[in-house]
Amino acid sequence: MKHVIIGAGVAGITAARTIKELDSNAEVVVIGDELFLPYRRCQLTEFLCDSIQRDDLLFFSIKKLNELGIKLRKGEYVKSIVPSEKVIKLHHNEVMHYDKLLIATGGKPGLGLVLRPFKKHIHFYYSLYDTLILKEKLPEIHKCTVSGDGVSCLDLICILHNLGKKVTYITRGERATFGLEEDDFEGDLHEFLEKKGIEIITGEQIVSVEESNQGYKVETIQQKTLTTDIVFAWDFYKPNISFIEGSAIEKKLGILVNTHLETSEKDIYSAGDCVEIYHPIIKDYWINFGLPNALEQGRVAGMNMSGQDEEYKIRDTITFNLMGKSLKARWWK
Amino acid sequence: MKTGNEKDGAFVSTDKLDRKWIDVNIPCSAACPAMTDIPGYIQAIAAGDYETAYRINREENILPGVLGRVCDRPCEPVCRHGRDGLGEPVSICFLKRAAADYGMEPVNREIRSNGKTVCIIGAGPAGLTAANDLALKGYQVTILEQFDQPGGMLRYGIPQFRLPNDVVAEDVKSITDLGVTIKTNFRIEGVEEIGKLRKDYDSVIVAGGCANPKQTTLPGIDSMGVYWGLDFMIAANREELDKSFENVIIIGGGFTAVDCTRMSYRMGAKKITLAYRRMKKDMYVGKHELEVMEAEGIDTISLVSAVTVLSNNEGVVTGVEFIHNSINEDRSIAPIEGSEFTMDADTVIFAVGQEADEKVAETESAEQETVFFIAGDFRNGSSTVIEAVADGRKVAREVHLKLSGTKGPKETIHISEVNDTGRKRDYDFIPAQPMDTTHMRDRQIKNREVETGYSKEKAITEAKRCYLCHYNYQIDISRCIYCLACIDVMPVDCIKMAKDIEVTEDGNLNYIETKTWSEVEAITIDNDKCIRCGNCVRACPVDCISISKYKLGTEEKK
Repeated sequence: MKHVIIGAGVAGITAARTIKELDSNAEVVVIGDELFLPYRRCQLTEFLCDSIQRDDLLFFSIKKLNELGIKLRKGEYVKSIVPSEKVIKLHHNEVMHYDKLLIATGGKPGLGLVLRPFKKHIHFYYSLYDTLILKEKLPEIHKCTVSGDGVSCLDLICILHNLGKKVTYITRGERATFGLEEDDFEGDLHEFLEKKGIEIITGEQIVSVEESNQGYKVETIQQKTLTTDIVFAWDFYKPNISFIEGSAIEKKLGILVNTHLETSEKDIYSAGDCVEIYHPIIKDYWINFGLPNALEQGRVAGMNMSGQDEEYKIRDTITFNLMGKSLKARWWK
Repeated sequence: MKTGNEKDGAFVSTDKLDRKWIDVNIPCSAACPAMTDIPGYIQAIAAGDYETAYRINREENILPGVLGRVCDRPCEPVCRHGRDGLGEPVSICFLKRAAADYGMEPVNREIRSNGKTVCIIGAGPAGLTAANDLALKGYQVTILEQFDQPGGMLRYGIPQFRLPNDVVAEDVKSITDLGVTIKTNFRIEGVEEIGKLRKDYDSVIVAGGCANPKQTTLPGIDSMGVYWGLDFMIAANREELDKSFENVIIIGGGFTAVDCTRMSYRMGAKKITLAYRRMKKDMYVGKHELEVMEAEGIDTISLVSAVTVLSNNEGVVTGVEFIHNSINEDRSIAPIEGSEFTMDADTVIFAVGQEADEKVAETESAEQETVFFIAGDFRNGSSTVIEAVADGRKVAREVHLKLSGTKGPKETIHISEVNDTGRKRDYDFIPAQPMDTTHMRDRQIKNREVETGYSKEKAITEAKRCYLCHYNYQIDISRCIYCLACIDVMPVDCIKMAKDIEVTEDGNLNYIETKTWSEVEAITIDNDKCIRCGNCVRACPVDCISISKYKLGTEEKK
């Protein structure tokens, strides 16, 4: 039985391990687009501020992969999936057969039509690669401009502030909510951040980023001009699943799965941040995120791929510590 | 290749195999409902000859300025440049617009009147195309239009920020210049009125379009602040909306729904949500339209259906109650019980399709009559501009057939030999040229066109990317000396050593590629992979590789 797992993050590697633990004879191939060994994305911020070392980020060592007999292929991209032939096509035109396939490619920030032309001047805060670049630049950075949504954006703002940088946050909304339910924060998030000294510009949108003598010049839709040392911006943060286009795998924003993490196509499963699932308690579709969910979904997917009958119990909330205050997050919108 | 005769230095073929060659090898033209000569006009643009490009395009596509902006581009997804590993498809639509922007000129054709008259009801794309074609054949054409300006949906259904009125007016003028009369504010209703027209004209074509929004019954749908999508667009385009918008929900998944979201943005709405009952990939709009919409900050929620329109005591809309849908294995959708939720809104727009006017539709039964025809969306239901243009052309042919007693047009394939295509391998590496757009800060100016068009230089750069699929490269096996010089210089895997060659009855060339010399029966060019660079022609020591240009034409059967 050949199990192919697309995505070498926590969910993908956990599924690989689960499969191997249940059936040591199974062939398991994990394909990851990054050049690093599997690491915990959620600890990048700790690495950025030197609370932990780079090696502490590692989620799975080569030794452990070898022990379990998991084949990891780093730096490779999947181009498309052909469920009818049970094959995936890789970017270098290799065609790989699978018996069971897991898609665990997570989420990714992206730029819309307006900011795309300025891509080379814009930073993301998403991968270890982004973090290594940022870490190198940190000493020269004093003023930062941030625009985006989601917990990772909030996390970035907080760490930049804690590192003594001046942060300006630009949002289209009337308040800074980061796409979260405000009730899930103890107190008002917007006011809390302002009190901490973060400048928040509401009802605005970055429309251009150009290099200038003093770093970068940012222009907004209302023709406001800001100068900054670095620009972090993304228009959306969504599941990284463009390679399923053209296949019949159903997706909403994320890949739609049932509680067994099965997609609409036979023998294809999905787990982690790229999954969207109907939640009977909140009565809405949602995209799970965070380490506990990735671990749990990876485990459940791995078991079901090995022929077990395991149901994913949807978790309610995850709690974050945000500069001493608690933030509960359920999903991103 | 079966050649009947020769015209302007080209062989004129009627062989079905040559016709098939076009369908197989020029995918963009084959996908275009109007069968436009796309490589023909792109090649003219690459040479900087915009007038010729316009003229070639205008032959099949009588609304070049309009379709250069709002065509749904069935040609681009099939472009060979967009295939796996070859990059992005050529921006055919943007180039079509460049040809109109820089090369528009009056149609210069001698028209000899045949004394017959045709009346067309509706000055939309189908009616205008039929009028154009019939006028060129010498008919005296009169169009009756219910609104105060011609254009139909082009003027009233599509917003000016996508298609400015003056562009519609220019394309319409190129048709009225042929002697077509357009009577505006002239509404025809019912069989009786058409019956009267039939006495005055030799033929009547009803091309009334689909101008009525499809209506749906939901509790609260009569609340103040609820609009039907097309009515909303027509009112906005006629400057008849003076209400202010804050929080708008648009329900639907087609072009009109997307236009309504973007129009709401321009009318000052702060929060705009598009709600669609199925998935984004099922929407009737292209990826490009969705991206432009999202760039303007418009949210989409999918897999939801409206259940009730909510209103206050005064009957003014306050929001919508939705229900989440699930998608079943057969791709049908079903509401998820108990998943209802509400969203606030001060304006709700239902853009769930449009249909033909019932009063005129009664006339459908009369279609059997020899001189009465229906065309465009009125016949086929709501479709795209290019499909309406293609249908207008088809009906014009039917009318001409009936009134002239001719046997109808026959397709001809003009094949001319050339020495060089002018294309270079370097052109393959030119990235797709992005369209310039209006700055975001000016997007809320209601009628400001968003896409500002290619510069002449940019259009030439983009045009060079085209593979020029209308050139057919062939090796004359009787003269080939199997030296493999062509294979040595081929830039991609486009020339093959073949064995077990078989030409089927319907013209397919089947062979097996071989690397073993003793098996080789011929060296052959794979036109599907060929990038028309001409390296092989230049390298061939015995001059056995020919290049011929294929162009589709029509001729009247005598």
